Amino acid sequence: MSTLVFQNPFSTRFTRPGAIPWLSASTSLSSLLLRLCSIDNRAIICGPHGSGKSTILSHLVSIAKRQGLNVHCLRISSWLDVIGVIRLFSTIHPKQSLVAIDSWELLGFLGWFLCQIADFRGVCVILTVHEVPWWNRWPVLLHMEADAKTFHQLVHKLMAKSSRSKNIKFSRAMLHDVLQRNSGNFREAFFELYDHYERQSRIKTYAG
Amino acid sequence: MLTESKPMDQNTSGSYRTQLNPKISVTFNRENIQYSGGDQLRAHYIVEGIDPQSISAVERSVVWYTEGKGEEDLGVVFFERIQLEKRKDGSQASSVSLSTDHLTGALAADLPLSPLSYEGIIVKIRWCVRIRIFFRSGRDFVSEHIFFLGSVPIVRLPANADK
Amino acid sequence: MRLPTFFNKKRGNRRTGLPVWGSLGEGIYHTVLLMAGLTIGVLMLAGVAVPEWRINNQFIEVDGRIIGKGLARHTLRDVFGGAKYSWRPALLVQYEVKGEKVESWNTVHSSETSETRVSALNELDDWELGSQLRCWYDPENFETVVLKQGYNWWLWLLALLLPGALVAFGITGLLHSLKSWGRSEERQAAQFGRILETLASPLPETVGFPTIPACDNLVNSPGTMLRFRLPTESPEAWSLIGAGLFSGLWNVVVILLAVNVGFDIAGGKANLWLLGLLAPFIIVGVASVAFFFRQLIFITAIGPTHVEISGHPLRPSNQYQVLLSQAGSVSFRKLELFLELEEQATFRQGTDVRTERQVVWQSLIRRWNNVEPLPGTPFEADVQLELPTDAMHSFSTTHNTVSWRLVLRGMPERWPALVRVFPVVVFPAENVSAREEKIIS
Repeated sequence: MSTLVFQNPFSTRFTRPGAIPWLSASTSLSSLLLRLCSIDNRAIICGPHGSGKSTILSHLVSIAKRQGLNVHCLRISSWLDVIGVIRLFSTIHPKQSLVAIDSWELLGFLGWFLCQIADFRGVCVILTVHEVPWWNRWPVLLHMEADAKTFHQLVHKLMAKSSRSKNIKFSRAMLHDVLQRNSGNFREAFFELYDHYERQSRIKTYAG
Repeated sequence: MLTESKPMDQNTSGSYRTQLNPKISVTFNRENIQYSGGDQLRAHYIVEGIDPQSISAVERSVVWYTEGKGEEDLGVVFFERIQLEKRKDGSQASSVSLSTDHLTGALAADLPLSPLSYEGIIVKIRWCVRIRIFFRSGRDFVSEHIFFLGSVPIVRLPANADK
Repeated sequence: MRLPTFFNKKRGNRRTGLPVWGSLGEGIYHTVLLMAGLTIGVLMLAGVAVPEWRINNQFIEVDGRIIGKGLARHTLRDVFGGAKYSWRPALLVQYEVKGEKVESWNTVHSSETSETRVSALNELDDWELGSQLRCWYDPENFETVVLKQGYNWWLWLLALLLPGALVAFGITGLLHSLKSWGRSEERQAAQFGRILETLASPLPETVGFPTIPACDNLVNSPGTMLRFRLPTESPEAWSLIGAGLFSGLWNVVVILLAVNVGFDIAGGKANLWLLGLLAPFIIVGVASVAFFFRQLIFITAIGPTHVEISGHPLRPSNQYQVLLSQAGSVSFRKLELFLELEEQATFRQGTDVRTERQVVWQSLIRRWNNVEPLPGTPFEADVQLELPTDAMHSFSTTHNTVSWRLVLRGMPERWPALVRVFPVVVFPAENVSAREEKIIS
């Protein structure tokens, strides 16, 4: 009977937002929060699919909680969530709270209306969107871009933390190819690395 | 070379973590941590490295979860929460015991006939004992210790998976 | 004192904050949605259903006489200050109530509104002054009279759509809030999980075997030769249904457009924009009909595939007899029957939803080359199937499945490749399930 466990470091449980670390040499999370305070407490994080918006939002939320703020998080799945956002913007204490909302673009033009409520009440908000909407007046806190160096570092960290095998390695050239093939989408790149890791771990097991 | 399962402590990632995490070790009643459907699992755990007074509650559970390329699904076959303001003695749950300093305990659970542990390609099914410590400061810490239900072999890669 | 947070976000495997407040807030929110839905529903029913019911059940039938005709004009103003008119025929009807003559104007049902005065006037010609007609008056207000009874079911549907959605959101949200009241994820899954998760789970489970899908639908069809006949998940059947639906709906739109254009042309004014739109619509419509018929001919020519099996659900190490019957007149260069194990994983993050499938194990049961069925006689074959000793059982949860299936793959002559799938359910090996309570017989 086998008690082998093929723990794949690129499983969704290790790569989903909140599980994956935030890596940036130029921008620290605390400085981002300070910057948010300096730009009237409402800002946007934008970037393409799989660029790490949800991840950085998750980490900003953690920092904010440690600094004593009451943090409210919402992930928009459809325009129907507008009701929840209205309720949140209307009921929270604006001075003591931070609202973090993921996938704001799913609200469409209703988002403009909600931004007016937030402006009126002075709510501290960070949103994530794929592209800055044309009607948006809030500053961009961070524009996420596909960064090969960050991707390499993340892969290295995931392998170090969650990989059970020391013999599986990915070369820089290979990682670069994977990222390019997936158009800079980290999530899709992780899915592809999942397949590579799974294949290699099984080959090594049966060969050894 | 892959090794046998090791406990997975769910330490949060990120350099901003300054609080120390406890070390939790679990011992199963079967040395090879291999069970069949219908067996009784018994486990004993020890929590080290923290002040017992800082613990507000302990949750012990036996769960299965999925891992792979899909979202995680979870099933619970045993769950117990112990609030440490009100101690529960063994008469309420005969298979459970908790020491006076809350740092050791035991649990027992009858394992179901399914799902069996499964090491697939994009879907994996894992069984584990989870010990979740709640601190009076509000944070919590969870430690997972894998065991195996059934003896389904590892799925080999399909023959055409050479891309 | 730190104020409670209302929402929690899970970070990795840790959750911080006070879930109780979050659950309370969610509960209140969903209660409000539920109450709003019920209120709006009641109001809408009162505005739509009650008047219609009264017309059909309480209004009193009487013979009336048309003593006047006219047109009612409705004005609709747009945001730019412009006005659009619609016309509706109106009749002055005289009838008797308790020995006294009553006269009242009645506008014809709203579906008979016309956009032009001329067409409304033409409709009035259908009614003759002095002619007798049947009508119904309101016993509570004698001057309210209608010229026909009946129900507008589509109006009821529309009226209940929004409140129905609010009620559904409210109820499901409330149940979820109750389920997750201040609990960790293990506690949530433990205490209410089995009951409420079943409502949301993709397939019902077999009793005594959690996460193994119930196979009631797979064993309710007896075979002619063997014990059970397996249902099929045929991709081309879905393709045919899809093609049919698309073709039907599209061509209805084309016909409506064409009729509209025809009336315009007959009326002496041709709408060039509409004419230009009609041409590509007709092309797509014709192509969709052609595709549908091609699929229909393909399925008809190939014929149905039947698979019967001697036992179900399946268990590792057991042997089963399988009878394959392939109808139709088409010859096959090759026919292969496989037993496959497929994994399916669904992941959702923001707007991204991806479902991946992978066949992780495949075994060829039998191959037939150059199959030429006799006219009027299906091709039949009897094979033995044995599951591996250590086969994984079937598994189905919300986002992940492990499923077994028998797959027939064929290469017909002069037709595209054929794939027909017959799902089966596999239980754990019998020595593991010695304490099982139910045996499907």
